[in-house]
Amino acid sequence: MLLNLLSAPKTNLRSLTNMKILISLDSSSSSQRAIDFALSRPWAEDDEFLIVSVVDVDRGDMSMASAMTSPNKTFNSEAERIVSEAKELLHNYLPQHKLETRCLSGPIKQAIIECAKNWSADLILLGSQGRQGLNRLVLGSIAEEVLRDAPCSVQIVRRKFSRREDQS
Amino acid sequence: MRVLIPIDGSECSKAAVDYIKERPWNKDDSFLLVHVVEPIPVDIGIAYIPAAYTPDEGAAFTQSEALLQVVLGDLKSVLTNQIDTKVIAGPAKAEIVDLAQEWKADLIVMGSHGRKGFNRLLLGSVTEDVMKSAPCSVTIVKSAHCSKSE
Repeated sequence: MLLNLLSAPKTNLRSLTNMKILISLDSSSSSQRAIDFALSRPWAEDDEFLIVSVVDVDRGDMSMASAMTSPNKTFNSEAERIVSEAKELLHNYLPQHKLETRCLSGPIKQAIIECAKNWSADLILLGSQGRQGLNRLVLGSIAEEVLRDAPCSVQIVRRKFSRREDQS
Repeated sequence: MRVLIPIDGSECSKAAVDYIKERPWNKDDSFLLVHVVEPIPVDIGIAYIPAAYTPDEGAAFTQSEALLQVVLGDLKSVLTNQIDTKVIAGPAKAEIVDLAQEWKADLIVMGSHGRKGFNRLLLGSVTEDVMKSAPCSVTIVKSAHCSKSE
Protein backbone atom coordinates (compact mmCIF):
# COMPACT_ATOMS: atom_id res chain seq x y z
CA MET A 1 0.00 0.00 0.00
CA LEU A 2 2.79 2.36 0.89
CA LEU A 3 4.37 1.66 -2.45
CA ASN A 4 1.42 3.20 -4.26
CA LEU A 5 3.22 6.46 -3.71
CA LEU A 6 4.99 6.46 -7.03
CA SER A 7 2.15 5.24 -9.17
CA ALA A 8 0.01 8.21 -8.17
CA PRO A 9 -0.83 10.43 -11.13
CA LYS A 10 0.97 13.70 -11.42
CA THR A 11 -1.67 16.24 -10.64
CA ASN A 12 0.02 19.56 -10.06
CA LEU A 13 -1.85 22.31 -11.81
CA ARG A 14 1.24 24.15 -12.87
CA SER A 15 4.78 23.20 -13.46
CA LEU A 16 7.16 23.41 -10.54
CA THR A 17 9.89 24.55 -12.89
CA ASN A 18 8.40 27.99 -13.43
CA MET A 19 6.81 29.09 -10.23
CA LYS A 20 5.14 32.34 -9.29
CA ILE A 21 6.47 33.28 -5.90
CA LEU A 22 4.73 35.80 -3.71
CA ILE A 23 7.00 37.28 -1.03
CA SER A 24 5.08 38.89 1.78
CA LEU A 25 6.99 41.51 3.73
CA ASP A 26 6.50 43.96 6.54
CA SER A 27 8.98 45.92 8.63
CA SER A 28 9.70 43.12 11.12
CA SER A 29 12.95 41.20 11.34
CA SER A 30 11.21 37.91 10.60
CA SER A 31 9.98 39.34 7.37
CA GLN A 32 13.54 40.41 6.55
CA ARG A 33 14.37 36.71 6.81
CA ALA A 34 11.99 35.94 3.97
CA ILE A 35 13.88 38.23 1.64
CA ASP A 36 17.24 36.97 2.97
CA PHE A 37 16.12 33.45 2.16
CA ALA A 38 15.17 34.42 -1.38
CA LEU A 39 18.58 36.07 -1.73
CA SER A 40 20.48 32.99 -0.62
CA ARG A 41 18.82 30.28 -2.70
CA PRO A 42 18.91 29.13 -6.30
CA TRP A 43 15.75 29.81 -8.33
CA ALA A 44 14.53 28.41 -11.60
CA GLU A 45 15.15 30.50 -14.68
CA ASP A 46 11.46 31.10 -15.32
CA ASP A 47 10.38 31.82 -11.76
CA GLU A 48 8.54 35.10 -11.26
CA PHE A 49 8.33 37.10 -8.08
CA LEU A 50 5.75 39.43 -6.62
CA ILE A 51 6.83 41.32 -3.52
CA VAL A 52 3.96 42.62 -1.44
CA SER A 53 3.52 44.57 1.74
CA VAL A 54 0.17 44.92 3.40
CA VAL A 55 -1.05 48.20 4.82
CA ASP A 56 -3.36 47.34 7.66
CA VAL A 57 -4.76 50.62 8.87
CA ASP A 58 -5.96 49.03 12.10
CA ARG A 59 -2.39 48.75 13.14
CA GLY A 60 -1.89 50.47 16.47
CA ASP A 61 1.84 50.22 17.02
CA MET A 62 2.78 53.43 15.26
CA SER A 63 1.59 56.31 17.33
CA MET A 64 3.19 59.09 15.36
CA ALA A 65 1.21 62.22 14.80
CA SER A 66 1.39 61.77 11.05
CA ALA A 67 0.03 58.27 11.40
CA MET A 68 -2.95 59.63 13.28
CA THR A 69 -3.71 62.44 10.91
CA SER A 70 -3.04 60.79 7.59
CA PRO A 71 -2.69 57.07 8.22
CA ASN A 72 -2.99 55.94 4.64
CA LYS A 73 -0.22 58.18 3.46
CA THR A 74 2.14 57.22 6.27
CA PHE A 75 1.56 53.49 6.05
CA ASN A 76 1.52 53.43 2.29
CA SER A 77 4.85 55.15 2.04
CA GLU A 78 6.30 52.70 4.56
CA ALA A 79 4.94 49.76 2.57
CA GLU A 80 6.26 51.23 -0.65
CA ARG A 81 9.68 51.69 0.86
CA ILE A 82 9.72 48.07 2.08
CA VAL A 83 8.77 46.57 -1.28
CA SER A 84 11.01 48.80 -3.34
CA GLU A 85 14.05 48.08 -1.16
CA ALA A 86 13.34 44.38 -1.40
CA LYS A 87 12.87 44.58 -5.14
CA GLU A 88 16.22 46.26 -5.56
CA LEU A 89 17.99 43.57 -3.52
CA LEU A 90 16.27 40.81 -5.44
CA HIS A 91 16.94 42.47 -8.76
CA ASN A 92 20.66 42.60 -7.96
CA TYR A 93 20.59 38.91 -7.10
CA LEU A 94 18.36 37.83 -10.00
CA PRO A 95 18.78 40.47 -12.72
CA GLN A 96 17.02 38.38 -15.41
CA HIS A 97 13.90 37.51 -13.43
CA LYS A 98 10.52 39.12 -13.66
CA LEU A 99 9.88 41.04 -10.45
CA GLU A 100 6.82 42.99 -9.47
CA THR A 101 5.80 44.84 -6.35
CA ARG A 102 2.43 45.66 -4.91
CA CYS A 103 1.16 47.41 -1.80
CA LEU A 104 -2.00 45.83 -0.49
CA SER A 105 -4.46 47.11 2.02
CA GLY A 106 -6.79 45.48 4.46
CA PRO A 107 -6.51 42.74 7.05
CA ILE A 108 -3.13 41.09 6.43
CA LYS A 109 -4.19 37.50 6.00
CA GLN A 110 -7.09 38.22 3.67
CA ALA A 111 -5.00 40.60 1.60
CA ILE A 112 -2.23 38.01 1.12
CA ILE A 113 -4.64 35.17 0.30
CA GLU A 114 -6.62 37.32 -2.11
CA CYS A 115 -3.47 38.46 -3.86
CA ALA A 116 -2.13 34.89 -4.09
CA LYS A 117 -5.39 33.84 -5.74
CA ASN A 118 -5.58 36.74 -8.18
CA TRP A 119 -1.95 36.46 -9.20
CA SER A 120 -2.13 32.61 -9.28
CA ALA A 121 0.82 32.29 -6.94
CA ASP A 122 2.45 28.86 -6.64
CA LEU A 123 4.32 29.67 -3.46
CA ILE A 124 3.95 32.23 -0.69
CA LEU A 125 7.17 33.05 1.12
CA LEU A 126 6.85 34.75 4.46
CA GLY A 127 8.66 35.27 7.77
CA SER A 128 7.37 33.32 10.72
CA GLN A 129 5.96 35.94 12.99
CA GLY A 130 4.94 39.07 11.21
CA ARG A 131 4.50 42.26 13.08
CA GLN A 132 1.86 41.03 15.50
CA GLY A 133 4.28 38.60 17.06
CA LEU A 134 4.60 40.27 20.43
CA ASN A 135 4.08 37.23 22.58
CA ARG A 136 4.24 33.49 22.13
CA LEU A 137 0.50 33.12 21.82
CA VAL A 138 0.03 35.37 18.85
CA LEU A 139 3.47 34.63 17.53
CA GLY A 140 3.25 33.50 13.99
CA SER A 141 -0.49 33.85 13.82
CA ILE A 142 -0.43 35.44 10.39
CA ALA A 143 1.80 32.72 8.99
CA GLU A 144 -0.47 30.04 10.41
CA GLU A 145 -3.60 31.65 9.07
CA VAL A 146 -2.05 32.17 5.67
CA LEU A 147 -0.94 28.54 5.60
CA ARG A 148 -4.40 27.29 6.45
CA ASP A 149 -6.19 29.24 3.71
CA ALA A 150 -3.51 29.51 1.06
CA PRO A 151 -4.45 28.26 -2.40
CA CYS A 152 -0.82 27.25 -2.96
CA SER A 153 2.34 26.09 -1.23
CA VAL A 154 3.65 28.17 1.64
CA GLN A 155 7.15 28.58 2.94
CA ILE A 156 7.63 29.87 6.44
CA VAL A 157 11.12 31.26 6.81
CA ARG A 158 12.12 30.91 10.37
CA ARG A 159 15.63 31.64 11.37
CA LYS A 160 18.31 33.85 10.01
CA PHE A 161 19.50 32.28 6.84
CA SER A 162 23.05 32.89 5.70
CA ARG A 163 25.28 31.82 2.89
CA ARG A 164 27.70 30.69 5.57
CA GLU A 165 25.34 27.86 6.47
CA ASP A 166 25.37 26.70 2.89
CA GLN A 167 29.07 26.10 3.03
CA SER A 168 29.09 24.07 6.21
CA MET B 1 21.39 23.75 3.30
CA ARG B 2 20.09 20.66 5.12
CA VAL B 3 16.62 19.65 4.05
CA LEU B 4 14.47 17.24 6.04
CA ILE B 5 11.65 15.51 4.15
CA PRO B 6 9.10 13.63 6.25
CA ILE B 7 7.37 11.01 4.09
CA ASP B 8 4.22 9.14 5.04
CA GLY B 9 3.33 7.53 1.73
CA SER B 10 0.36 9.86 1.10
CA GLU B 11 -0.50 11.83 -2.04
CA CYS B 12 0.60 14.96 -0.27
CA SER B 13 4.00 13.62 0.64
CA LYS B 14 4.32 12.64 -3.04
CA ALA B 15 3.71 16.32 -3.80
CA ALA B 16 6.57 17.22 -1.46
CA VAL B 17 8.86 14.74 -3.23
CA ASP B 18 7.89 16.21 -6.61
CA TYR B 19 8.70 19.65 -5.26
CA ILE B 20 12.17 18.46 -4.23
CA LYS B 21 12.69 16.84 -7.63
CA GLU B 22 11.62 19.79 -9.73
CA ARG B 23 13.03 22.75 -7.85
CA PRO B 24 16.62 23.93 -8.15
CA TRP B 25 19.05 23.10 -5.32
CA ASN B 26 22.64 23.92 -4.58
CA LYS B 27 25.20 21.17 -5.09
CA ASP B 28 26.06 21.07 -1.41
CA ASP B 29 22.47 20.89 -0.18
CA SER B 30 21.81 17.60 1.55
CA PHE B 31 18.55 15.78 2.14
CA LEU B 32 17.24 13.42 4.80
CA LEU B 33 14.13 11.38 4.02
CA VAL B 34 12.39 10.28 7.17
CA HIS B 35 9.42 8.06 7.80
CA VAL B 36 7.91 8.07 11.26
CA VAL B 37 6.30 4.83 12.39
CA GLU B 38 3.53 5.77 14.77
CA PRO B 39 2.08 3.29 17.23
CA ILE B 40 -1.47 2.52 16.10
CA PRO B 41 -3.85 4.44 18.36
CA VAL B 42 -6.03 2.11 20.41
CA ASP B 43 -9.05 4.31 19.88
CA ILE B 44 -9.53 3.12 16.33
CA GLY B 45 -9.97 -0.40 17.67
CA ILE B 46 -6.68 -2.03 16.80
CA ALA B 47 -4.47 -2.98 19.69
CA TYR B 48 -0.91 -1.76 19.75
CA ILE B 49 1.33 -4.55 18.55
CA PRO B 50 4.82 -3.99 19.91
CA ALA B 51 6.42 -6.72 17.78
CA ALA B 52 5.54 -4.91 14.57
CA TYR B 53 7.52 -1.90 15.73
CA THR B 54 10.76 -3.59 16.65
CA PRO B 55 13.53 -1.79 14.78
CA ASP B 56 15.22 -3.80 12.03
CA GLU B 57 12.78 -6.70 12.11
CA GLY B 58 9.30 -5.33 12.78
CA ALA B 59 6.91 -5.35 9.83
CA ALA B 60 6.27 -1.61 10.12
CA PHE B 61 9.96 -0.87 9.88
CA THR B 62 10.50 -3.17 6.92
CA GLN B 63 7.68 -1.48 5.04
CA SER B 64 8.95 1.98 5.95
CA GLU B 65 12.40 1.07 4.77
CA ALA B 66 10.93 -0.14 1.46
CA LEU B 67 8.97 3.09 1.05
CA LEU B 68 12.04 5.20 1.73
CA GLN B 69 14.14 3.20 -0.73
CA VAL B 70 11.59 3.79 -3.49
CA VAL B 71 11.50 7.53 -2.80
CA LEU B 72 15.28 7.59 -2.51
CA GLY B 73 15.62 5.96 -5.92
CA ASP B 74 13.14 8.46 -7.33
CA LEU B 75 15.10 11.44 -5.98
CA LYS B 76 18.44 9.99 -7.01
CA SER B 77 17.20 9.76 -10.58
CA VAL B 78 17.30 13.56 -10.77
CA LEU B 79 19.55 14.78 -7.95
CA THR B 80 23.22 14.12 -7.38
CA ASN B 81 23.11 15.55 -3.86
CA GLN B 82 23.74 13.67 -0.65
CA ILE B 83 20.48 11.95 0.32
CA ASP B 84 20.04 9.81 3.43
CA THR B 85 17.08 7.93 4.85
CA LYS B 86 15.91 7.25 8.37
CA VAL B 87 13.04 5.40 10.00
CA ILE B 88 12.02 6.44 13.49
CA ALA B 89 9.23 5.40 15.83
CA GLY B 90 7.10 7.64 17.96
CA PRO B 91 4.57 10.43 17.68
CA ALA B 92 5.13 12.01 14.24
CA LYS B 93 5.09 15.65 15.24
CA ALA B 94 7.52 15.34 18.16
CA GLU B 95 9.85 13.01 16.25
CA ILE B 96 10.02 15.28 13.22
CA VAL B 97 10.68 18.38 15.31
CA ASP B 98 13.32 16.58 17.42
CA LEU B 99 15.03 15.20 14.36
CA ALA B 100 15.09 18.63 12.73
CA GLN B 101 16.85 19.91 15.84
CA GLU B 102 19.32 17.02 16.11
CA TRP B 103 20.17 16.89 12.44
CA LYS B 104 20.37 20.70 12.33
CA ALA B 105 17.91 20.96 9.49
CA ASP B 106 17.62 24.34 7.78
CA LEU B 107 14.38 23.44 6.08
CA ILE B 108 11.59 20.90 6.38
CA VAL B 109 9.62 20.20 3.19
CA MET B 110 6.35 18.39 3.71
CA GLY B 111 2.91 17.89 2.23
CA SER B 112 -0.02 19.89 3.53
CA HIS B 113 -1.98 16.86 4.71
CA GLY B 114 -1.12 13.35 5.69
CA ARG B 115 -2.41 9.94 4.80
CA LYS B 116 -5.77 9.73 3.13
CA GLY B 117 -8.76 7.87 4.46
CA PHE B 118 -8.49 9.29 7.93
CA ASN B 119 -9.82 12.48 9.35
CA ARG B 120 -8.32 15.18 7.23
CA LEU B 121 -8.05 17.73 10.00
CA LEU B 122 -6.42 15.31 12.39
CA LEU B 123 -3.66 14.44 9.99
CA GLY B 124 -3.23 17.94 8.67
CA SER B 125 -2.49 18.73 12.26
CA VAL B 126 0.89 17.00 12.07
CA THR B 127 1.88 19.46 9.37
CA GLU B 128 0.45 22.34 11.35
CA ASP B 129 2.18 21.29 14.56
CA VAL B 130 5.50 20.80 12.83
CA MET B 131 5.15 24.21 11.24
CA LYS B 132 4.52 25.78 14.65
CA SER B 133 7.26 23.97 16.57
CA ALA B 134 9.99 23.47 14.00
CA PRO B 135 13.33 25.06 14.83
CA CYS B 136 13.85 25.90 11.15
CA SER B 137 12.09 27.05 8.00
CA VAL B 138 9.25 24.94 6.70
CA THR B 139 7.85 24.56 3.19
CA ILE B 140 4.33 23.19 3.07
CA VAL B 141 3.63 21.87 -0.39
CA LYS B 142 0.05 22.00 -1.56
CA SER B 143 -0.88 20.36 -4.80
CA ALA B 144 -4.20 20.35 -6.60
CA HIS B 145 -4.69 16.70 -5.84
CA CYS B 146 -4.02 16.71 -2.15
CA SER B 147 -6.13 19.71 -1.28
CA LYS B 148 -9.07 18.62 -3.41
CA SER B 149 -10.71 16.53 -0.73
CA GLU B 150 -12.38 19.51 0.97
